[in-house]
Amino acid sequence: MSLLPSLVGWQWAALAAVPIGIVLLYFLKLRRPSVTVPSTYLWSKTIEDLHVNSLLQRLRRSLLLFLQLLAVALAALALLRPGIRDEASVTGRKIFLLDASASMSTTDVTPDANRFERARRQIGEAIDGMRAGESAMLISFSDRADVLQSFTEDRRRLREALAGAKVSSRPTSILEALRAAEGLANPNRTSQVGDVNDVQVAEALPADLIIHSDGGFPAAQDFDLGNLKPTYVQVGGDRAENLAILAFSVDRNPEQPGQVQAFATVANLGASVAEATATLSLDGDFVDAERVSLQPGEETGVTFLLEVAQAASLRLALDVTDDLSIDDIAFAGIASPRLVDVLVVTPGNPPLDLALTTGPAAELCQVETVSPDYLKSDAFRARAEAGGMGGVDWMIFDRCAPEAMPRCNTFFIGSLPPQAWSRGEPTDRVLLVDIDRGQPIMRYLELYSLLIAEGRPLQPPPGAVDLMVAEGGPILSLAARDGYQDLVLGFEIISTDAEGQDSFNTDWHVQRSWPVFILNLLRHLAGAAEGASLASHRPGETVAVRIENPGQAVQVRLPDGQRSTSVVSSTGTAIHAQTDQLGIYEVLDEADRPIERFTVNLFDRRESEVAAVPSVSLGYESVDAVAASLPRRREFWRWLLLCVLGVMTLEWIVYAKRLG
Amino acid sequence: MPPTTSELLSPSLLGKLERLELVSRKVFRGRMKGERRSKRKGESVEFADFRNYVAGDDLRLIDWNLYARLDQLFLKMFLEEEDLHFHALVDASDSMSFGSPTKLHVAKQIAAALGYVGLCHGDRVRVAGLGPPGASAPVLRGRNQLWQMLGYLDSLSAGHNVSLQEGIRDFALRGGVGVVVLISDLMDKRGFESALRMLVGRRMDVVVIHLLAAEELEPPLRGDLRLVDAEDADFAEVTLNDHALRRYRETVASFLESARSYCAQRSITYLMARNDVPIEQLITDYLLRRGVLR
Repeated sequence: MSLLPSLVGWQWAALAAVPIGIVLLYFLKLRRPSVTVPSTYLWSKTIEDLHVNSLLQRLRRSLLLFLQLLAVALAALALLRPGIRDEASVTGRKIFLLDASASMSTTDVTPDANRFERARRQIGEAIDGMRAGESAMLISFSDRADVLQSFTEDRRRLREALAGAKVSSRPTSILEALRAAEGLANPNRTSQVGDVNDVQVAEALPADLIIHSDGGFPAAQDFDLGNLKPTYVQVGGDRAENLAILAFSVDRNPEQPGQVQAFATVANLGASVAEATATLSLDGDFVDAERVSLQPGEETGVTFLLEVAQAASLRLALDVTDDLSIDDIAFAGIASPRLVDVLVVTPGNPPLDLALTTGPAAELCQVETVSPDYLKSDAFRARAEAGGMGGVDWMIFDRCAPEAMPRCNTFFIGSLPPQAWSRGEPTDRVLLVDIDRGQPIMRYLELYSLLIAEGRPLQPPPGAVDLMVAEGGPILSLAARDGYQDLVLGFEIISTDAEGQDSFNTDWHVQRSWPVFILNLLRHLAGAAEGASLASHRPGETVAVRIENPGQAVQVRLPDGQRSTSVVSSTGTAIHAQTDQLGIYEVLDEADRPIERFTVNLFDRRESEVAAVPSVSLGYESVDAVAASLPRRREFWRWLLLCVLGVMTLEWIVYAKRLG
Repeated sequence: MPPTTSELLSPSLLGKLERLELVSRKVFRGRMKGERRSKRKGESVEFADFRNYVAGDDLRLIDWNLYARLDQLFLKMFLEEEDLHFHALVDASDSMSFGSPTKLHVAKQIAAALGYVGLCHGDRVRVAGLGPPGASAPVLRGRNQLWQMLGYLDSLSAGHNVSLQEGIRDFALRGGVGVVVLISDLMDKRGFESALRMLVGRRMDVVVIHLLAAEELEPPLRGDLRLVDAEDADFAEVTLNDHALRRYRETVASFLESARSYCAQRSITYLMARNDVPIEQLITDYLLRRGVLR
C-alpha cells in the first residue's frame, strides 16, 4: 500500500480546516432555542428511554458530526490516493517510450480516443504505480525522439511531462529514442573494446525499457539493448480498418501545358473490403470524384484529368470512416511553369540550339550561348559562384569543362566535370544495352535505334545513377554534388576532327527523342518542372526552400493559417522545420504574395498499415507484446469517493429522520 | 343566599351541582351529626344489621319480633348519620399555569365544584392549595360559605413550587380524615408515589384527579430544542422528530398507566382529566362515572 498525495501543502492545510469548521459549526448549531415546558420530567424520561446505552447515546448525539467528519476523512484519504501495486520493478528505473507517430492516431481502442491516449493512460497508471525510490524517464518518439522528462523520482513532473505529450503525424523510427534511453544504462567506454586498460566511464545503471507502441516502425538494427530490459506494450488491435492514400501527385501534360493529370494510389490496408469515394477538390471547389472498391491488401491508382492553366491547390479526400483518418486526405499543388535560365557553353552545336528553341522548350527557358573561352573569364567565375543567384539555373558544357563546378545543375556533353569523374578509352559503334526509363529525365524516350559513332564509357563517382548503359559501361550518368546534380553524356553530338571539320557523332539529333530529351532535362534538371508540381514532403521533415533574396526573413503560412518566420541563408535557402501539419504551405514575400509552395503528406505505407504488431525487433532481440498488465497501481480513490457518497447519504437520512 | 355567578362556576353548573352528592367509599367518624351515614351504628332510622345480644346492651334496641319468631335475642342496629370531611388539594405549582385554559384554572373549577357539592350537603369542606397557601385555607360548612371558598380559590395563584410530597406532608401533619381529592399533574421529579402513600396511610378516601394539558399530551414542538423546566429551570436538550415524539407519547402513556395502576392497587380513585374538556362535562361525565359524585 502506498500513497500518492494529490494536493500540495497549502491545499492540505485548507482541507484540514474543513473538519475544524464542521466541529465549530456543530457547536454553533447546538445552541438550541429555549422553550419553557411545564416540566422536563417526562422529557427526561423520554431521553433516558432513547439513551439506554450511554455509549450509544453519546454516539447518537453526535452521529451527524461523526458522519460528517467521516466523510471528510474519507475524502482526504481519497485525495491521498492510496493504492497497491501489483508487482515491483527489479531495476527501480523505468524508461517509458511513448509512440507519438501518425499511426497512433488510430481510433480502434475504445473507450480511449485513440491509441496515443490509451498509451498515455497506461503510462500514467504506471507512473502512479511507482514506488518511493523508483525513478523514471519519459521519451516520446516519432521519426525523432523527444526526451519529455529525464530520470526523476518526482511523479508530478512525470505526469506533467506526460500531459504535455502530443501525437504527431510523422512516421516512426525508434532508433533515436533507443539511443536516448540507453545513455545511463549502457555508458560508453573510454576507448576501444578489448583494450585491457579500458575502464568504464560510469557505472551502468540497468533500467526497464517499456515501449508503448503499435509496433509500426522498422526493426532497429545495429543496436544493442545491453542493460535495458525491454517490455513491449502493444497498443491497438491487430484488425483495424484503414483505407489510405499512399501517393498523390499532379503533373502537367508536356504536350498540352494547360492539361493537368492528377494521380493517386489508394490502398486498402485493413482487414475487410472497403469502399470509398475519392473526391478531388481544386482550390476548395469540387472537381471530380471516383468510386474505389478494394479487397484487403489491394491497391489501385486513381487518375483525374483537369484543365488548369494557372497555379492551383488540389485536395484529394476519401469519404470513408476508418480507424486512421490522417491518411484519408492528400494535398498536391501545381504551379505555373517556371522560366529557367540556361547557359550553354559550346563551340557550336546546332542540334542543341534547335532543341532548346522548340516551342515547348522556349516556353520553359531563356538560353544564353557562349563559347568555351568564356569559361576563363571572371564573369563566368562570378556567375558560377553565384549559381542560381547569378541568373543561371542550368549550365550545359558541350565538349568543354569549367575549372570549378558552378553552383547549379549541369549537363556535360562529351566532356567531364573537373572532379570525381573519369572515363574509359573511346569505343567505336557504341551499342546501348540498358536504359533506365524510371527516371523522369528518360521519360517518353525511344533510344534503342540510336546510332553512336564513338563514345567513352563513364566512371562516375559513387552513388551515381546510370541512365544509359552501353556495352563498355555507362554512357549517360547522373550524379549528385553538394545538392546539385551533374548529368554527363559519354559521347558527343557533334565531333570536330583533326582538321577542324565538324561532323555528327550520332543520329540522335534527327530522332524525335532528342528534343523530348532536352525538354525533359529542362523540366527536371533545369528546374522548370519544379514549378509544375509542388514538392511533397513528409510530416516533420525539414524543408529547404530556394528564395531569390538571401539574408531576408520570409513568412511561411501553415495549412491552419498560422505563420512562422524563416531566415533565408546567404546561399538563398530558407529552412522551414514546422511541418507537422498536413496540407499546403506557402512561403510569402513581404507583400504577402506566395513565392513558393510545398505540400506535406503522410504517404507512408508503414504508418497506414495500422494493425498493431505482436512483436517488435529491437537490436538483436525480438520482444513479444505483453498484455497491458504492466506493473500498475490499483487505486482505491474511486471506492473511497463512493464511500464518501454513501456516508453523506446516510448523514442526510439521519438528519431527515431527526427532523422528519 | 347561593352565589349566582363566578369565574369558576357558572350558575347552570351550580344548579346541577346542588343535586349531586359526594361519595365516600369509606365511612368516617365525623365531628358533628351530619347528613351522612356513619360506619358507627347509631340512632338513625336507617337499618344496618343485626347482631347477637350480649349482656349490657340497650334493651331498647332488641328486635322483639325476631325474638318472637326465633326465640333468640338480636339487637337491631341502625346507621348513624354523620357529617363528611372533604378536602380538596389543588397543586399550585408553576407547571399548573400551562395550557389554555390553564391547568390551575381547571383545577380550581373542579375543587370549587366538589367543594360546593360538599357545602350543599353540610359536609366539612376544606379546599386548599398545596404548600404555603394551604395554611391559610379556611374550613367551611354550609352553602352560604361558597363565596369564601371561591374567594380563597381566586386568591390562589401559581408559583408555589413545593414538591408533591412536601405539600401532602404539610396537609397530613395538620391532620385530616375523610375524603381527599388531590388535583395535580403529578409531575414531580421525586415521584408521586410517596405522596399518595402518605394519604393512603392516613386511611383517607383518596381521589386523584390527574390533570394534564393538551400540550403535554401532544406537544406542538419540532426540531432541536432546549426544553426548560418551568419550576426548577432544569433543562433537557432534545431533537424532536417523529421518532422522539412517538417515544414521548409512549412515555406519557406509561406515566399515566403507572399512576393508574398505582392508584388501583391502593384503592385510590384515579381520574385523568384534560384541560380542554369543559368543566360541565368533567363533572357530569367523568366524576359521576367514576363514582366520585352521585
